[in-house]
Amino acid sequence: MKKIRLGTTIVFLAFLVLVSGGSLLIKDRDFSPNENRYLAEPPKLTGDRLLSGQFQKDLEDYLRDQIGFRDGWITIKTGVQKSCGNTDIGGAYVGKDGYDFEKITPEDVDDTLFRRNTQTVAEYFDSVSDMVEPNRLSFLLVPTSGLVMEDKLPKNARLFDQSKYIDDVQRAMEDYNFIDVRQELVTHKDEYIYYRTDHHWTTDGAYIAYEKWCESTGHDCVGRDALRQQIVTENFRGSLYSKILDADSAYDCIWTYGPKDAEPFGSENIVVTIDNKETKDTCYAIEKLEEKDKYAYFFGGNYGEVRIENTALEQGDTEERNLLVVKDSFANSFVPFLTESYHNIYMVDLRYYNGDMETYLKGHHITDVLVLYNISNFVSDRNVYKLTGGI
Amino acid sequence: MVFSSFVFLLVFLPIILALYYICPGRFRNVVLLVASLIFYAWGEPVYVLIMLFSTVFDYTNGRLIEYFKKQNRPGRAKVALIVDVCGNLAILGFFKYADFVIENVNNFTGAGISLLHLALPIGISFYTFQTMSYTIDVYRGQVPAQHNILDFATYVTLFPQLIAGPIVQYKTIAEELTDRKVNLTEFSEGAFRFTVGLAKKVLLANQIGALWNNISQLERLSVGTAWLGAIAYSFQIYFDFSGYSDMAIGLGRMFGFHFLENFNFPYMSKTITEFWRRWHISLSSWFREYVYIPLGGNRKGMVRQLFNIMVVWMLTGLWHGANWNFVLWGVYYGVLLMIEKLFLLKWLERMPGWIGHLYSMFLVVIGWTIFAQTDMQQLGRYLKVMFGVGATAGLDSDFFYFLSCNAVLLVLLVLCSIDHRGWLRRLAFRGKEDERREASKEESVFEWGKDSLTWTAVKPFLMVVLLVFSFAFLVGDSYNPFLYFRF
Repeated sequence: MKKIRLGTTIVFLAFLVLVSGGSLLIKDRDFSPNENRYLAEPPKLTGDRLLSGQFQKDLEDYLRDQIGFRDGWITIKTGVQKSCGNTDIGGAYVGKDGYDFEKITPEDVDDTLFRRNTQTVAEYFDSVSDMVEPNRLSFLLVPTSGLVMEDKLPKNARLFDQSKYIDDVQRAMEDYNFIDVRQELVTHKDEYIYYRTDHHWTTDGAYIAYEKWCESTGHDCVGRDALRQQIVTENFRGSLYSKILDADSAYDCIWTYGPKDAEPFGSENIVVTIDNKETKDTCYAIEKLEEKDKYAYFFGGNYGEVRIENTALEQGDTEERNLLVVKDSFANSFVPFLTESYHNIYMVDLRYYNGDMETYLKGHHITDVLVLYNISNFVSDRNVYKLTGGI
Repeated sequence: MVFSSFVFLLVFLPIILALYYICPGRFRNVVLLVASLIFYAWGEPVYVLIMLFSTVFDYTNGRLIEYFKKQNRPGRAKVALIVDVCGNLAILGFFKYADFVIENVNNFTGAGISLLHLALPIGISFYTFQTMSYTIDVYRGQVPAQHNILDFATYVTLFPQLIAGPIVQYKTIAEELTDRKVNLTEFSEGAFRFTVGLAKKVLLANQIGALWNNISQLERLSVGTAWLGAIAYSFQIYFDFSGYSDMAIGLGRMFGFHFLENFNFPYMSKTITEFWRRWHISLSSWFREYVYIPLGGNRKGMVRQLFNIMVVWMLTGLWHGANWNFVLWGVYYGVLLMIEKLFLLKWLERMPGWIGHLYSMFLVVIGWTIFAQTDMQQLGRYLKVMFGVGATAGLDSDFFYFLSCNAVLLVLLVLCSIDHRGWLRRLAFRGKEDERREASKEESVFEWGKDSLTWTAVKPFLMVVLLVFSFAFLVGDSYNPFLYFRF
């Protein structure tokens, strides 16, 4: 009996000493790629910080962040929660067939902000409609996977009513070209149009929107039969994986499309200029496939201003067409499809760009404008106002 | 510092345990005292001075009372006691209730006195009550005054029960303060008890607490969701508080102290009277011993008894927090207990058991709903929704979603809330009827365990599981993806 009792004591002490000592021995990590944030450093000890309690708080944060096998502990937690039937983990939903979903509840949406954003876009279109024909002012609002693949969402999961918001925007865009892709995406909901572990649409999802875009702007669409798919990675675990940290999580593929017998769209006769500094000859950033966020393969991520010049379209050949895309990250896998149709595409991300957008439009001889946002970004983005109120 | 923090689990506890067991017996109180002061000052670097003042103040008064009693001058002893009780209540009143009083004076008279905005010193409600029990008991001659100020300070500051109880009365551990034994049995039982408490806090209370957090922030509620939220909070507060008491009792045993039990499966009660004999026992006993009985208890007629009940329960409510909802909560229980005393208790005894359970749990859940919400308007709205006024529906998809996510957890919570000691006993003593009967005499599940080989053998394994899961959830709560950066 005594021996067994010793067992309890040893287990208790050994556990604390192992975790404590292990964390002490293992080298501190600076950065957590899954969380996309810097981890806490050892706190500095001063009299003031001790008296105010700041040191104590920082030490606790430090121990939490630098505890040995941190991600392993979290994976255990997720495993326990999942096996208890919980589908709301780490601020995301664990859906069916390996699909994870963004969790945006009705309370998360700030209606005032949404109305202001909608109004801003409408005002911008109003103010530039003397320079660009109204039917060339387009707004493409991408629904999230939760709406399109509702059948894979956990039953009754709480999600904001995005269709209502999209309808509202559509009404505000009556005089302009509002591109509603909901129906088309839902029709293809059983295809691989959204990543399983990331909140973005796949290149197939973007292609469906591209078809609809061609139809509504009168461009010739490259048919699906004439396309060649190239898979660039099969090891992608995206933002939703990072939130949930599920050991059993699926891996996603990332791929590009191009014409048969040719390179993918946006990788031939192309000059990509990022923030007026760096230039590249392709829309793709192969080095990003080695990193955690592999979706950044498209354009290397988000930048304030990206210019994509198609050198194959000779000036004077046809009437020069220049497109301005005001966008979030959903545009990154979509824009390569457009590179064949425009001499220049200017992608502006208002989160990182602060210039005046009316001047911008004049200065770059813009003939077409496309505003492209994912609905969950559009209802929550606090930078859309820059479209009319930039510096 | 709290027990469920990494600073405590990974740094403080291992170091203190090592020092405690390295030091020879006579220095162990000093180790505990220093440890307790660090433990307290960790979160309250300045307020630790109040606790030290309180210690010296009560020590002096204890000695004075004893001195005057020896001198046969009971009048002066009484004065010393009154000074002590008033001093303690003044400290508690000033730090805990000053702003509450000012606010209400302002509301009623429009005086416009500015608030003090004092942060509440952690654990002040617990240690002032503990030290009052000491001086009162010295006055009553139930314990001798403590002459060694270090030992007395060790009692006041003792970190296992310092910040969230149980309220350990001085007489409970008076002897152990100077003479206590630690051995392997005590330590292993204490460590196990601590682990169970940690698991209750982290795995049960925190998890179901997340559901309550979720629901309490919704603007539109169905009746079902409102009840689910109230039930979630009822489980949260029970497992949070009793988990903390378990950790305190467990730590106490690791250092050789035996605190009294604080909870005895309160959700098994068939009446509200029974509930309060099983819930936060150390507080109810304190009020009974130092307020209810001195007021005359039940010895001065029914009217006086009802009055006494009401006084005790208003005070109990107020003790839980300086806010009207706590007063309301106290009055609520005062009224219920009066009704039970008047006729309902007798009536309930004749009813089948399940009616009593249903009746008690219904009222307890309503009680926690009052307790949970300090905003009186919000509380009113929430209670109305529970009874269908202003609800979006009876049951809605939100309700079913919350239920599906938490179904397993809720089953676990129910299993842990019901008195499972009988089953465990039968399991542990299969085929050994005599031993089982012997073990059944022990009150707590954690005590009878020492008699069963099976149970003792299971403990280390159970402990590993509980520790690993608790740590996983503790780390997980800090997991904080910052994803909307450069997307």
